[in-house]
Amino acid sequence: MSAQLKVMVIDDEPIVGKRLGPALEKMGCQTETFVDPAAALGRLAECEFDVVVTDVRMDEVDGIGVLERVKALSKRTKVIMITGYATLEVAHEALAKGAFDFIAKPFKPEDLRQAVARAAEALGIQGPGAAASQA
Amino acid sequence: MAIVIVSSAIESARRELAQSLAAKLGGVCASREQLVEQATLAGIPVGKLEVAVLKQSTPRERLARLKSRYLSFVTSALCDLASQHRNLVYHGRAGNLLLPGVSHVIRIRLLADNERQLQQTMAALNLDLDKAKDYQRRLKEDVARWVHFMHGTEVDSLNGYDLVLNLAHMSMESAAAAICSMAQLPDFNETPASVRALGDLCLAARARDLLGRDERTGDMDLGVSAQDGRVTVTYMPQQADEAPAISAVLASLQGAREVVCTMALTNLLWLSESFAPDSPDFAHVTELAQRWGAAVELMRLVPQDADDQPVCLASADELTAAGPCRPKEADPTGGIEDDVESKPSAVDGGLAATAERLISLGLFGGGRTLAGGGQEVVAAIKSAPRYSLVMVGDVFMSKGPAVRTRLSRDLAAYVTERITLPVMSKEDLQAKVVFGAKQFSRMALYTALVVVIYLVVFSFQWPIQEFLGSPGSLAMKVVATIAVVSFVPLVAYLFGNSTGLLFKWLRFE
Repeated sequence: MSAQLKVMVIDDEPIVGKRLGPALEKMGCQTETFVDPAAALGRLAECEFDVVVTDVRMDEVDGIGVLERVKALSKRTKVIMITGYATLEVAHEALAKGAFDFIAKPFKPEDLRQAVARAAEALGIQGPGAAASQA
Repeated sequence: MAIVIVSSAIESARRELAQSLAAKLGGVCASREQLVEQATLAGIPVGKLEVAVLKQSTPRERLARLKSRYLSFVTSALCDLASQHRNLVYHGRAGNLLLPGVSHVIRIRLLADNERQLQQTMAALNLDLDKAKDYQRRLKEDVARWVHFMHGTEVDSLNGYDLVLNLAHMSMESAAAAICSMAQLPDFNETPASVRALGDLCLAARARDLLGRDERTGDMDLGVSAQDGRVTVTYMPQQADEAPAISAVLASLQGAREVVCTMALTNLLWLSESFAPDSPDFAHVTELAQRWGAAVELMRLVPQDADDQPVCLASADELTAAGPCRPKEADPTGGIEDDVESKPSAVDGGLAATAERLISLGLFGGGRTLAGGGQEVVAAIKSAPRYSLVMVGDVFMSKGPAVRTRLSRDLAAYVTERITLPVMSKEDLQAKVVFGAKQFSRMALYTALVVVIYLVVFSFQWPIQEFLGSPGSLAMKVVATIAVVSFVPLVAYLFGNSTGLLFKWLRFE
């Protein structure tokens, strides 16, 4: 298992990646951010990520589509859904399709760090990412 | 004009019925999902409420305010739709609870055909049978929790519905036709009273919505009601400095004949080391507060050396001075708040959960944690002398029962001596508000004794008069005097207790 958690952040609003990228790097994660979900899916085909953080509502491919694609490519990758339009229906659909967690916007980066740390723990990764968030 | 509200946990079923019904009635169809979208765009993060239910988070004061804002927005939006369209069909999870007391609203509970819904879920979400079943079960459980969280009622409660339709036994078309026929019944026609009730409900919701959106009043705990176009806003005594902002914000409220801002008449201060919204103490305090029309302020008293961090729930400093309406600014952060390391939440002794419940009841008058003892309590009370009663609950919890009782009594005595307010222990309060089987038996006993005495006196008037008035010996006169002196207080005691308990039973102050 790698010590550094590989995390992908997908959100069509650039500000989200700009804020979440450094916040996750602060806990020791290796982070890649994407505003284009199609490009993100292309990257996922090339490289396996430990955690994918994706917005639910996006123009080209929505978060549920990303989730399905990620799970088809790698069963072990944990997917955390983030959205400003959370509903029980969407959340349960995502969880039924294998999402690891569901976070409603607005949220503090710390909320995401805690979710990522739980994902790392579920993957059995005791890297700096997990350690930082638990500190 | 018909307003039909269709409620069901299964969105696809209620949507299908509502669309069919709207087409038959020639009206407009609106959904909870559309209003949630509008609310989110208006800056109300409804998703936080949904996820709080999903994750079964501890209720917080912030969520309670968010809940109130959401309900005001939805009610206000529904009212706007009802005023713009002759016939309106709305479908949602518990829509029947949104326009209470309006007799021309038809409230339908829809029971979906489980087998059909399962097939639809499998097809729509691309899930296998087991996952679809699991999805439906979890969704129904969470919708039930959501209804309880938002409205404090059970999803299966049939109170407030006019009709229950089971789609396992009838087609969607027949269901729509049945509701259409029902809408023609005179029972669901508009009346001047029902139109007035809807108007007042809408006015109050719009006022709450405006107040919730404005940064000056958004965090205030306000009671808003409307009657015959007159809007009354009640604020808590500690918000007196910010109260002018209420009138400024409501200056743009359309349809209001008059806006009146009043301060809550009185505040009860509940002093305790820990609070629990499900405790008997909470029930007693809120019962008294409701009777008096008072707000309840929570003061958590912790020892000076306690590790708990002081918590302040009502921060008036966050509010700014009056001025033109200032809507909250749109979020430029993409929904990601500032990256501040959050400290582990302080143990609050149930303060936040109790505050949340009080906010739901419209009785929250603020809350804070105070480290110290009697001296600090007196200083805190004197700095805000707006209470009409202080209730000393569970304090000195780390001590043994005997020491705790003595210290609690000492604290109550110390506070009583230094402030001119009544101070009650939890036992006193219980005696004041509780009317159970024991009290009922005592009332029955006292009343029976009074009745027997009166019967005896009126049945034996001549012998009594002869005993009291006959010119007998001095000894007889002394006996008669002693009898009267003993008898009158006895009757007064029995009668007083009997009527006192009767008034308590009738909740008559």
